Amino acid sequence: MIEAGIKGLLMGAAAGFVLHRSGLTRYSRIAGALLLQDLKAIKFMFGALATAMLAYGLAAAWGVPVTPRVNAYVGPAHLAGGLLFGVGMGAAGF
Amino acid sequence: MARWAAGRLIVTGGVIGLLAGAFAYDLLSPAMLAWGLFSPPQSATLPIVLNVSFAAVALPLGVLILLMMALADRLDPARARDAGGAGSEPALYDRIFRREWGWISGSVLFAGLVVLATAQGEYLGIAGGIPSFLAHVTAPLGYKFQTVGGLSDHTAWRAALIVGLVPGALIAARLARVSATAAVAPMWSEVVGTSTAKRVAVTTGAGFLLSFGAMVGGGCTSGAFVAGWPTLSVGNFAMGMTFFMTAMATAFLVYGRKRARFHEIRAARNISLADD
Repeated sequence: MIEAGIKGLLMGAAAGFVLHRSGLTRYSRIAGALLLQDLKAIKFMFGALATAMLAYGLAAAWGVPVTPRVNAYVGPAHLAGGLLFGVGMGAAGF
Repeated sequence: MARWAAGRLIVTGGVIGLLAGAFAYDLLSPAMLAWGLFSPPQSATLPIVLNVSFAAVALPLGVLILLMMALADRLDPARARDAGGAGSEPALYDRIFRREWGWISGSVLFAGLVVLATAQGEYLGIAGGIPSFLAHVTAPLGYKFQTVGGLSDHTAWRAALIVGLVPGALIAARLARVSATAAVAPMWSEVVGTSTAKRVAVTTGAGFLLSFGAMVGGGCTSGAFVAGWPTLSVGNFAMGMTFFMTAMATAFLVYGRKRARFHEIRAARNISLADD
């Protein structure tokens, strides 16, 4: 459990570092994205997810065993959760 | 000093809100099940629904999204500002540690972390780490998080992930020599005002909604969106689209007519790329 914790800690630190250096921890970047006045956060997030999508796609095509865990579909909860989360995100910008 | 203290209070409010949201979810989850908010979990991804291979969806969709972002880059109203201030080319050290990275290098590195987490058999979901973190912290006190189950390598990894974010971002800020003058984001003050009570109320409430909403909807901006969409999960597509639309509508409402003056306010408040 200690080893898993250290790995997680390093991954978290790397993620925090990349997010900060890319400007994603800035309020003005998030608010700007939601107001469609500064698209950097949108470009970053969609760019990252498309890159990961291509990596998983290539891994699947070439038979490399890097298979992501898939979040299950649980019905209306996705919409209810999305509405609550969206209000918080729009109000605070984080 | 007062500003720094006020900034700390506002951040603390946000953290308390996030933790409270996870507790509320844990306490309310049986009731929400009874209300029929959750249907029995199904493994649903676009390739399963369309009955094609994973690569047949992931590869064209990934390319399409990248092309759309190349277009978004051309249309970005902040493009001129980001490109500005060129003059002499900064040294490599400054470009890495002082200047903000461009979206392409940042997103490729972040995607690398998402895939690296998967290669470790884990999942880069930040909000999902909150209940794991609370489960580890409260276990010695005898509290049992019903939505987490037993403590394991997975919960330890996820709990450590959110703990690690803070030093990671602080080290980046330290190396960038970001000053502490903007303890409260100037753009945010413009819409929320300068009352500390109101500011703390907004961050606490928003923190609660963010973590509670993320638990209900199955992820946050990282778990359900940046790490979730590449898995082609139907639930993550539904959650991601819903929260983005809602967040945009909320921001439009909060800003109202100030929206058109976004760049003007940003310029007037002298928000620089190093410190906003």
